[in-house]
Amino acid sequence: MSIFINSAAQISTQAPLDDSFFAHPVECAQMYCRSVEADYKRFVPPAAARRMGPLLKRAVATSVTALGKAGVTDPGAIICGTGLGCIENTEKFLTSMIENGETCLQPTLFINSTHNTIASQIATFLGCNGYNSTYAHLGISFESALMDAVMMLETGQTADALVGAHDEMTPTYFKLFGMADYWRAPHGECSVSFVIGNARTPDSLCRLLDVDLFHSSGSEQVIGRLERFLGKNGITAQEIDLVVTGCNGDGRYDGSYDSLLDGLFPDGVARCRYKHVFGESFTAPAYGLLLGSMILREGTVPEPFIHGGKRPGECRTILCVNSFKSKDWSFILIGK
Amino acid sequence: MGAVSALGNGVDEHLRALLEQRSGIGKMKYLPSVHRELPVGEVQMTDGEICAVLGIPYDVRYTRTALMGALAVREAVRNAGLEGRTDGHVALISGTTVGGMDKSEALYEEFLKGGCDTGFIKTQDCGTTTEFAVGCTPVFDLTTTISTACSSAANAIIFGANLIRTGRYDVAVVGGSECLTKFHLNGFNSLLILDHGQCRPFDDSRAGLNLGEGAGYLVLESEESVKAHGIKPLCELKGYGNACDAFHQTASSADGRGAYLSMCKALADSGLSPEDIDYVNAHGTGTPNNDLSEGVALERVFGAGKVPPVSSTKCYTGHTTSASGGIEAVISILALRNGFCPVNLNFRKRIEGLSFSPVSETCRKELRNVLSNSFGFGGNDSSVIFSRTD
Repeated sequence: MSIFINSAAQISTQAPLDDSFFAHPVECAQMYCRSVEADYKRFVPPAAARRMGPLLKRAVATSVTALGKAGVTDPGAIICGTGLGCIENTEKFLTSMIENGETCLQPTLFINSTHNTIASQIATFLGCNGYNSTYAHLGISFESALMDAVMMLETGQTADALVGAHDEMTPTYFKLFGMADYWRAPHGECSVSFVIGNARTPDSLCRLLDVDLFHSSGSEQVIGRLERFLGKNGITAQEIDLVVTGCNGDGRYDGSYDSLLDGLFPDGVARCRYKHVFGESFTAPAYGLLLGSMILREGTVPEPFIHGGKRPGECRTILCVNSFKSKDWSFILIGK
Repeated sequence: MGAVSALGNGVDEHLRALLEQRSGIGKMKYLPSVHRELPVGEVQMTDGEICAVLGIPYDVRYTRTALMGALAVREAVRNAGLEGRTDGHVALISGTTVGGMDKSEALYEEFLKGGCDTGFIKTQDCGTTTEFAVGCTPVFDLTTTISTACSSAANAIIFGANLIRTGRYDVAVVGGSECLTKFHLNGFNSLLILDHGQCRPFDDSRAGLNLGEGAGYLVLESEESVKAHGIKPLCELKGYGNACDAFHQTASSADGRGAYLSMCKALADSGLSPEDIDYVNAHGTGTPNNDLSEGVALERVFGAGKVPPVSSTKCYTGHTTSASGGIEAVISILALRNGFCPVNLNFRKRIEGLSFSPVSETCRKELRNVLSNSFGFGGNDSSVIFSRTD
């Protein structure tokens, strides 16, 4: 059975709900890069918008846009990945609880603080009673959601799925992450929605071949895991035309990509990156998939994303790799 | 299986308490909340005592969710004899929502002033609480965390089952962990859904839930692997379903649409008919809204007057939120294997408008198929069915 990425939409540091970033990306100029907001009046009635934080509005806007592009009104599954969930509401409720000594608390902030607020509010907004789930696991939150969607399609439990990656970076969290020396890279936010399905459409971006996650604390090496993943999909390393990496410029961890790729591709491979444009966040790998699928559709590799390695030629098969602190790995294989 | 809750540490303690009809809900002892009047189901150990059981030195950065999860994961892994026979190709799928909020709420003010140990900033999120269990029992090469509020652990069971169904894994440890926090105690309190007395699921006078804490995990293994290793499984995970109520962030629809759909999906997946279900371990929080909505959904699935024995075991453990689907899966399997329907404590009068009452007195009977419900905020509803294999 084939799985297709039938549409995608993003709100990020780039022009919102638009593909212009592909040809004309704007690089992150500072360590804290918040997303450029879209005009939400097109998506959410004003009364409802007042009850929604920016993260939720972005999620609804990218979801509705992606569904519209794919011609889907009632997806069989809505699955989101989010590293921190609705952290702005969480902070507000927490602050209020501490300041008021556990009294006089407004339930609205609590109600909208859970990680699954995003996926379930999208379902409520669209009236979708299908499968609904949310993943919150550090740098593989989005890929976990994607893997869930792939398995739902493979087992025939759904024919299509809306898969989202949503994270906000509040000033408080930016400060806390700075204190903890968490990411030595521009901090971004994320809202990307994909519609995937087992039927292709005239506007399909690419095929989604497979997804794997790997926690590298045990005896197996990353390279062995990746080789096994490719082998399972009947693909040799030579057939990979381009690798989209999650390199973010953090010298502590970027070397792990080099070790892996030098080992797998002794003769080198064409490489792209994207976090210098979209910033780092727990769900940033969704931008990597977005970039890879657009490269397959457009048939070109824009210069600003090229990151060493061989000169890219024609791309038929792309591997997206992300390493969260060299510990949690994800591999996404996509094809023309 | 592995479990820790107000009923004790370990699966056996749970079986004993259920058979003795002894609730673990009582006076607040460990959670440093001002709301001492609220009964809760606490794990009767300090964080330091849990560390001692785990055999690790206490560290202030360890969150209670992580510690309880590590305890129950380790028990499940040991009970299944996984160490030494899986070559580390095992997945851990865990559900949690509050993650390390117990420490966040204690340290937040200090953090903002910049005057405290920053190590904790790296350990407060949901994913890190799961990875703590991997550190304590290093047999896993895939781990992820599901966060669908009170159905998190049930959805972890579903993800793990799909890993096996699609041939990606032969063995997956699945469940959830959640500690009590002031954050969600106050959240539920602000929604006015906490009972100031003992909760009374499915009773006409029910007035809300009691919160609890704990962790519960199952070891799922493929049929091929079980046969190859000559293992006698505890039961079969016969089917599962997930649906969204898509009605309101915290309230369930009057006709229990999401609950109805998740149970129907689980039945269809299992190939069983409604009359094959011998016992339902209900979500049964004890709130007026949930129990009526779930009750209506049960009548729609099974037919009015034909609902099988139903009980909620949240009157024993309290509502352990993200862990509940794991702990209640353990309880459902204990019921299946030991031939009893747990008694729904504190029941006096049937809910007006419903055709059934929960199991209210000792009920020993052979069970073949048990259905367990877990419903979460946002209408994230999931149902799983466990069946005897002999």
